[in-house]
Amino acid sequence: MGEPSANGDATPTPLPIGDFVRLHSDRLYRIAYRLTGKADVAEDLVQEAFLDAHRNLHQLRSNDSALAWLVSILRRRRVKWLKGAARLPTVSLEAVDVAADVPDPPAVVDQEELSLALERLPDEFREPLILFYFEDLKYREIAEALETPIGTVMSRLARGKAMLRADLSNGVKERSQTKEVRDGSP
Amino acid sequence: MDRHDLDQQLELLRDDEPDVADARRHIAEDPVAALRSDRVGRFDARIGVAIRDVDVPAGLADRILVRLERESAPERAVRRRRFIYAGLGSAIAMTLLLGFAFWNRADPTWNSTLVAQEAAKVFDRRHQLPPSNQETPRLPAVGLGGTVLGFGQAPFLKKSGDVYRLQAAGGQEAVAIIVSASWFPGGFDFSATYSVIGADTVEVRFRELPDADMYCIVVARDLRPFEERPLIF
Repeated sequence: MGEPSANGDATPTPLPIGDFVRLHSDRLYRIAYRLTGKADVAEDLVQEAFLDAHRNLHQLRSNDSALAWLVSILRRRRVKWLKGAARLPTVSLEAVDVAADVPDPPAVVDQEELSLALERLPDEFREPLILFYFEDLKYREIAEALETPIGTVMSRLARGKAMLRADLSNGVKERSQTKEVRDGSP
Repeated sequence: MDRHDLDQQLELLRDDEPDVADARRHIAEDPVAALRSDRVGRFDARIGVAIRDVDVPAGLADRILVRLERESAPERAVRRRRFIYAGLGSAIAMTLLLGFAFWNRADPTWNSTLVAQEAAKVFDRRHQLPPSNQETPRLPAVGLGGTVLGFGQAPFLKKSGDVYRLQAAGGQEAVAIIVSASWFPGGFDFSATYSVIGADTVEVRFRELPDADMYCIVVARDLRPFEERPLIF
């Protein structure tokens, strides 16, 4: 582990493993939770990701890229988990045009609805979307973490956001309609 | 930039991202784009807050560190064991290599007289050689006659050589010792006969094997019955 020096070379400035874990574990857990939707699985994946990271700390180029590196390890762990778990199938969403109208954001985002909406997203859209909303990674770093070209990541992000918006606004609409029927309002 | 590209870039606007600079210019010039960007931004802000709103289980970092400690301890032990085994292996290999190098090394003190004395000792022990059989290799063609009675490997000056026990028609016995020439870089005087006076007086002569980097050392009480061709040139 090391910080880049002025000439761009990585000079070893090792961060004690305790500090390294405390610095990144919460953020990694939140990402893992959003990727899996399950608290226990998220914690297992995060622990295993840190074990992998600890074994391969020499591969980390600099502390600046640590989170992206950890996310890429977490992602590999998640792929193993997905293979072993009977994962809920994603619902095939209708193609949503990026140029579709942007609805007003809901006044309050229902966490359960958000989790369901994220779960309904195809994996290739969900991963960049979650990393985008955590705001810690630049597009280049998201692309590295996902091992995907940056152009593809940006395209999927735009489409993923449109899908999420459409799904959430449909949910809001459905809730409103149900409420209207219940209240007997026209 | 077409509308689709612009809409895509509007989705990706971030302060520190250089790849969406064109969209920023459009926002400044195009009220429709500016409105859309504003709505996207408000939606993102709301969703971002909700997505990041995840309770982290208490003590997560401590549990990770405990597991790291627990699971890396056996790994360290395995690595240490591997390191020790690798060190031992290297030491053994080095010892064997050095041993072989020393064993194979020619000793400059091995002159003709000393070699002749050693050859006389082999002659004294000739009855210990296993009897010859069908697998006994042929005696190299160095001009020696006689029947091969025995054959075997025998220690010779910290090395070993092929030793033939020979018997002449008159019952006299001799030994022929075949050794590598590389062990005796000083060579021998092939024209001389060495008499070794001890419990048993013997004659010793050195010959060169044709087309082989080997020497033949012949020992007998009397070499003449074994001469198919003169041993003395």
